[in-house]
Amino acid sequence: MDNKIKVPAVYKEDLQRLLQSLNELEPINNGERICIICSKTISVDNIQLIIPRQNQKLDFVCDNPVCVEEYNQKKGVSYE
Amino acid sequence: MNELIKAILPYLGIGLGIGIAIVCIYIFGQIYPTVKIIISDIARFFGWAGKNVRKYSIEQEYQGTINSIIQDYNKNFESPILPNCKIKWVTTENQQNILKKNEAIICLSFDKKDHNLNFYNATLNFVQTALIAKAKDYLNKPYSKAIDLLTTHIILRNNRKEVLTTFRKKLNDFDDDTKQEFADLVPTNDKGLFLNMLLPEFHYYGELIDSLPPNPEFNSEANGLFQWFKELAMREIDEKTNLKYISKNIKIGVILVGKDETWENKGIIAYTKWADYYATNNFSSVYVLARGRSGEERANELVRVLNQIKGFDILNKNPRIKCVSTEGREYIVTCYSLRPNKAAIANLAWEELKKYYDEHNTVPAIVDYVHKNSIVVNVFGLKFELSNNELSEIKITDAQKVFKTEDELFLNIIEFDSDNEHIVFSNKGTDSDPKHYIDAILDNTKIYSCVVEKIQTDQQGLQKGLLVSNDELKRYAFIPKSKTTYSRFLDLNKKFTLKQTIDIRIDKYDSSSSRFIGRLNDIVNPWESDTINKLNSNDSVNVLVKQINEFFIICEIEEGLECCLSKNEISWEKDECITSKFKVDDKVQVKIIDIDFGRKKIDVSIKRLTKTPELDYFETNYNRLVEVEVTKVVPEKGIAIKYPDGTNTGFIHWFEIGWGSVGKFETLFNKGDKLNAILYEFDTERNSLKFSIKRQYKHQFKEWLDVIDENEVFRGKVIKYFENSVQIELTQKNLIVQAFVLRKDISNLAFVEQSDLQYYLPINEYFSFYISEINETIQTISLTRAEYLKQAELPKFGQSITVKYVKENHSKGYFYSDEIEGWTNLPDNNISFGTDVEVLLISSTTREFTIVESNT
Repeated sequence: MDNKIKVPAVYKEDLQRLLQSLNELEPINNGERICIICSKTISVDNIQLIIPRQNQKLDFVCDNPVCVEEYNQKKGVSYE
Repeated sequence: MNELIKAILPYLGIGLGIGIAIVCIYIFGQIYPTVKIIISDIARFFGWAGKNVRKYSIEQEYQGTINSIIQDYNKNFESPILPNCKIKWVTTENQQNILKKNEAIICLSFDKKDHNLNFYNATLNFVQTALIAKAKDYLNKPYSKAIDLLTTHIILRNNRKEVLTTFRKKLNDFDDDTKQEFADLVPTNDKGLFLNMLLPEFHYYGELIDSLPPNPEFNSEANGLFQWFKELAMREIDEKTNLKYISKNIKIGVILVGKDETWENKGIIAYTKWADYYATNNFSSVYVLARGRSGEERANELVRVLNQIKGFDILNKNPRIKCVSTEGREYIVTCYSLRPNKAAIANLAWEELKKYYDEHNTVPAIVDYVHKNSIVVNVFGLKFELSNNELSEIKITDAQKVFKTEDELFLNIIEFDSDNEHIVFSNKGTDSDPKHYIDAILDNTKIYSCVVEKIQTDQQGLQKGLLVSNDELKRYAFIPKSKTTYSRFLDLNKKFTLKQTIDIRIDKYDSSSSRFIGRLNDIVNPWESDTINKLNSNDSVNVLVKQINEFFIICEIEEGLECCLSKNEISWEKDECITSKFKVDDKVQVKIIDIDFGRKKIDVSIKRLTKTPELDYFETNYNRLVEVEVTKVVPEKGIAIKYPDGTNTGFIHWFEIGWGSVGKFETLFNKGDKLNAILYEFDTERNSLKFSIKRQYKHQFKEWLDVIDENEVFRGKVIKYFENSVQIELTQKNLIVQAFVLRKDISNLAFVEQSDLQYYLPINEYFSFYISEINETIQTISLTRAEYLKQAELPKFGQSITVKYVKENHSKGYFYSDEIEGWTNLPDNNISFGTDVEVLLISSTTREFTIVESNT
């Protein structure tokens, strides 16, 4: 067993730039993205998880711990 | 050159020192995550210096917080249980290389506004996805969420208490089931068992099933383990809990080193034998748990023995856990995690057995399996079989009824050959010989609360009784049907349900069936119940028909309280007296006719619920003296009579005429005669009344018989005459009886005709008698005057006495008195019978007298 798990993370101050590069900043600012668990509108302030999907599509989970918990109940992380 | 070096050296030394210091801090940071938290706090202070400092601060904080506790935790185990974490920053520049499909990126913030919530979410995210993840997938959601929340709480509590506020606030957002499970799980951590038992076991389990193909039974195994753990961790002192969790892929056993008395009385063997049992049965983990300082010492001693003598491996390095009770009191919990080493156990077991054999000690054993004719026991981790003959000093026919799995035994070694690994055990006469426990059970009067397991029937399907169980009695006890109810007819299925709890007492042990035989504790004899005590004749009650034959029906007033309905009590109409018109369990209203406590018999009637005029007259005049009129004298049978207001006739049987021989009664009664008679019986079959003449006279026979001497002289009053006898009333000690004297026993000299009786024994006069015969069956007393007169003293010659002149024949006249009788030649003048005369004795042998004077 590898004794260290790498956790992909984004620092909040880098978030806008990252979203910009992924072409998601504008839709988020326009209120076009929702939490995949609770359907709450995603903003730059309440993003907790960003989940890359196929074809460069992204899903978002808000910062409610219940949503984080619920998301992980359905999907784990990969081990290195 | 040397000067230059000398000039530069101090600066090089300072720079080298600073460099070494930086390297050391870095290395410390790598080795000790706690240092990372300090670095994080220092960097936080310098956060104004730039984004990279702030980013570095949050990275060190996150890794330090999580890894510090995980590293501490893993130190306790030979191989790490939980993984560490390392942040991999995603930026615009590296996102193409780092972003992976479905791999979530977590946001972390330095800004106070978002820091705590982001940090909490990130910690929860790591706990949830990285810790015991392989097993958690199979747990029910509330269980796994509760584990995640508690683990997150433990991490934050140790290093980031300020985030706990966010934790508490956000906990309310979770569903009720999760919150409840979390609340249930928190005390298990307070007792030190969550981290030291549940997490390792789920880790081992996850590693195991990770190599197996998916199977739905993993869900039940994982959830079962979780629930078992909660029960075990939450048990109260002395509470009975299951100390084993057994499933296909998990076998965990627990040894509690708890009670002082067990340790002091039975010693370490009381615990090592359970370790042996777990080892023999392939348990993968054995936990030794203790509480308090003395428990810790004992647990240490036990684990030392298990490790050094019994061949168990110790998996955790720091068994000592400091806990705080709900009252805030600190205490120590000791938790050893052990794994049996089978090869070592077998070698050590034979050495141990030899020691026990040499020292003539009994060997502790645990019953592993029970067959009908033998049991298999576990001794020091090895299995041995004992036949029934070796199990007890009493005969055991079926071991399954006496022993059960996990019973603790202490065996004698009868034969031992360690070279050939040959050993013979015996349980006879040991402390664990079931004879002792059977005797102990039989000696006490305890009430056992038992569960009804089965209603036992014979081959014909008839119910025999109940099989009941109680842990103390080890196996089923049998309650015969007669000991569950006084009713012969009760269907046990209607009174008892399977798994119902009933209280029983044990009466005996039946060695042929290897069972205790008992009885229901609260079984009430219906003849001693409130119901019977409240019942009276003429009461109307509802009864249930239980048994029907041609002549009568047996009903129950209540369970076991039977009553008999005779065929002729069904109806006043003879044609309607048919028992077959009833069915079993019919509810019928009846009237109680008679309750006989001696014979435990209750007679009931349906027809008497409705009264005929005769019955009405009977109930009004029962035992009363009424004036009746003779309508017909039936020779040799009795007298038909008419009673007041009656349309039907009553009857006086001949044996109800007098308390003795009445002779030909036909001569005494004529149609139209009026007499007084007692109404004493109602003939239900004929709907007619029965009267008695004799019952109007007091006859205290039994009491009188108890107080008299049969050989004494009895004084009696003449009451009335029958055809061949006279009714005499005797009184002794205020007890009155009716007797009779036959005509032939009145005189020794003359044949007394019926017409002579009025002179010999006038009505209402008193005479002396001897008893001739007493018949206790029919309660009659036969008297004799003749015998009394034979023994009477004669007067002296020349002494005149006064007597009654009572009878004459062609040649003699007879006189009679209470004390004397005799005869004279026929007097010259006519003397009326019953007249007083004075007589003188002429011959004492012939009893001839001569009349001196008469009153005629």
